[in-house]
Amino acid sequence: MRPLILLLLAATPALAQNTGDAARGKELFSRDNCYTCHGTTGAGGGALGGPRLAHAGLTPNAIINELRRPRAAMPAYSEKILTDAEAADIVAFIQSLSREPEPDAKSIKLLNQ
Amino acid sequence: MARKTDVALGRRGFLKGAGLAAGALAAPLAPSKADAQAPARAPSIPPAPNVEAERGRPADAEPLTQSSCGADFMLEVMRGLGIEHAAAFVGSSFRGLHESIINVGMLTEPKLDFLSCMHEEVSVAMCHGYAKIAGKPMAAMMHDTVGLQHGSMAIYNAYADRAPIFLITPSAPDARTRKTMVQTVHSVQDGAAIVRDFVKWDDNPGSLQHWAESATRGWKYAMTPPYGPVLLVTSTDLQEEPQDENPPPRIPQKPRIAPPQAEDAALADVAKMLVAAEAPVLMADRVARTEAGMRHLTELAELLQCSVVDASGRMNFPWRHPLNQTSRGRETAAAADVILGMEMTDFWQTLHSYTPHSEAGFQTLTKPGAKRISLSSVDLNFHSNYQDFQRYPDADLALAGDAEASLPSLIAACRALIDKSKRSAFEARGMKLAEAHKTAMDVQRGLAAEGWDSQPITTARLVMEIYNVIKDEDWTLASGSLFQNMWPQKLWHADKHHRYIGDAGAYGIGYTAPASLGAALANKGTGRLTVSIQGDGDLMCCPSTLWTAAHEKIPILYVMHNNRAWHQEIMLLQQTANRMQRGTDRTHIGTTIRNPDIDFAKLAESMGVYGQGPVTDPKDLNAALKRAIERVKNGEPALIDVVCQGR
Repeated sequence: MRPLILLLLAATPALAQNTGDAARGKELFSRDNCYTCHGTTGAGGGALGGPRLAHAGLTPNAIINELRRPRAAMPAYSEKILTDAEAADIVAFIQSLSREPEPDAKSIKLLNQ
Repeated sequence: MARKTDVALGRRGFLKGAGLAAGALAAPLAPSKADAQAPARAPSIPPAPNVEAERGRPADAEPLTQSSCGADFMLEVMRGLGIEHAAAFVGSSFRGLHESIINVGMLTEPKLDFLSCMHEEVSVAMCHGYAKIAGKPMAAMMHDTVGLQHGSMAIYNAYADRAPIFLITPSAPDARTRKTMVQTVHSVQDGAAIVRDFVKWDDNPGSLQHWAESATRGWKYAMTPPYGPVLLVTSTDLQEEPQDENPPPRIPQKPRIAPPQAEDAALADVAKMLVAAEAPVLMADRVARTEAGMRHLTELAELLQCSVVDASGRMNFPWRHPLNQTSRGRETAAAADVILGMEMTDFWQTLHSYTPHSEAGFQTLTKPGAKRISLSSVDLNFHSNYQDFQRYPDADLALAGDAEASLPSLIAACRALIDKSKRSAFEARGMKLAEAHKTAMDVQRGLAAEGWDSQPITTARLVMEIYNVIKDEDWTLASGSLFQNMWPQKLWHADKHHRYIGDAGAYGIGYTAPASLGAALANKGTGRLTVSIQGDGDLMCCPSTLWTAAHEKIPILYVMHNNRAWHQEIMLLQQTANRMQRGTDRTHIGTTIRNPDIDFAKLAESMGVYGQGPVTDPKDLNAALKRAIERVKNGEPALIDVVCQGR
């Protein structure tokens, strides 16, 4: 079942072209409360929160899959409450989080004490 | 015979009456402008002599004074059991004990202090945290019925967390001797019924001798693993009436407790399985009741050079030990061929994965043929109504016994089976595990680095800023770290039993603030620095904890993890809203603590606790923490409000 779903999702036009608006996606990330579990910068919330989104190597397909048909505790965002265009905007925002250089833990003194 | 001359009101009735009386007294002190300008009134007619007052009290009336009371005897019983503190929200039904403690217990050796609380949930949770550091019970006294109802959630937390607590709630079984209508409405046929499902034992003694025996028996049960709360329903009359039992009541001897060890032959079987295994795993939750438990678990792990996965119900195993594989617990469970789960609260969940939505995604993590062994003292304690025993975990072998007490025999049995070739193979295994531990720590550091400078402040940054200022102290983290992603366990160095005391037990919110204060009470005078990472929602369940901290001069540092929400509930409500396809944009209603934002520094200051914040920039945290720690080192409580990410 899942491969079929993946194929269908991959064919979604906005997704295939990755035409989402990151600025609008940032607003949706707040409006739809994504930040409550994933953090405002996509740092994640650990075992009882949501996984890290920034610098996590997430493809647009993977993000859309988790939005529409999450595997774990993630709320499912159906098309009725999040349009394909809005989903693409969120994808664009999440991808923008990874454009900043990944923090180097070794350079943070407090993480090496 | 009860003293019938007393005119006592119950706590709530008295306070209400006191408010009216205070108003009446205050009125003449603040005359209105109109009153001040009014002409002087004519003098009233002198009252007639009060004949009753002139006659005085009849010589044969019941005596107004007495030279002994049952409460004094109860005090001596408690002192004999090593109880040093009794926490209470004042209640007239235990005023006999209250009076005895403040006038005898606090003034003569060995001291038994009265700790002033403003809610029974605070009193009981203080006992809970205290027990986990002190290793023994303190007492909480709760007003009959209404006080016990207030304290009940905290009792359930302590029960589920296996903490020994000595609880007292009064009773007035004889309608003739109840002093007011208030005491009657608080009276109950079976005072312990409301909490019987989650105390280990209770009794309702009918005499002082009975009370002494039940107190000692209760203490023994509380302190025999699995530890737990015990409750004595204690007649108000028995507290207040003179000691006139014949023969005089005797205080039983306090026994030395020998915890139940699992059967030797079964432990020998466990040893054979562990030594023969290629990938044995030791799982621990509430194993280390004392420093010795931690030492034994470390010795067993090092002997076998095997993985340890720590569910962190207590400080069981050094957090940075190379054999500590907690950060990769699922992977470790999946690779195991023998798993020994010790004092596990939820062995089932540790060995399974499932989605919260349904049973459909349920999967067993362990590989086929993997042997599962459980060793737990909780198998010796049977209660059925409240389901703190969790899902049933399959086990090849189940041993009923206290893990800490059983470990020395298990270690000896393993040692006898390990020859030179085994030792060499174990060392190779240990080296691989050490490498895996190091890699896992690097992964966690990488995750912690994400959003390091962000605002709101990440929980990783919060936790590491705290560690930076306490790491050279003799510290205790008195709060559970589940809501901070277990960052302390992942990134801090901790190798002493008092470094961490686990969490609430039954996830009853309102635990952290008072239980941390109880731990700080146990640490007081030891030179230890007690730190609590304090959720905002939890603190608002019992903010009066701060007043008790200041009033009783208990040094503790509260660092707020202020995410301005009951965050777990947000996530769960979002799931439900989206399942109904209604969206999450209204799920802040009822789940967030905003509009207005609470100023926790002001809240602290209002109750006499040093307060700072809100701190919003992570760069300001270090200085704020240092200032607060100076206060704590001077014997004060302090609080820093830090605005943080949800998790």
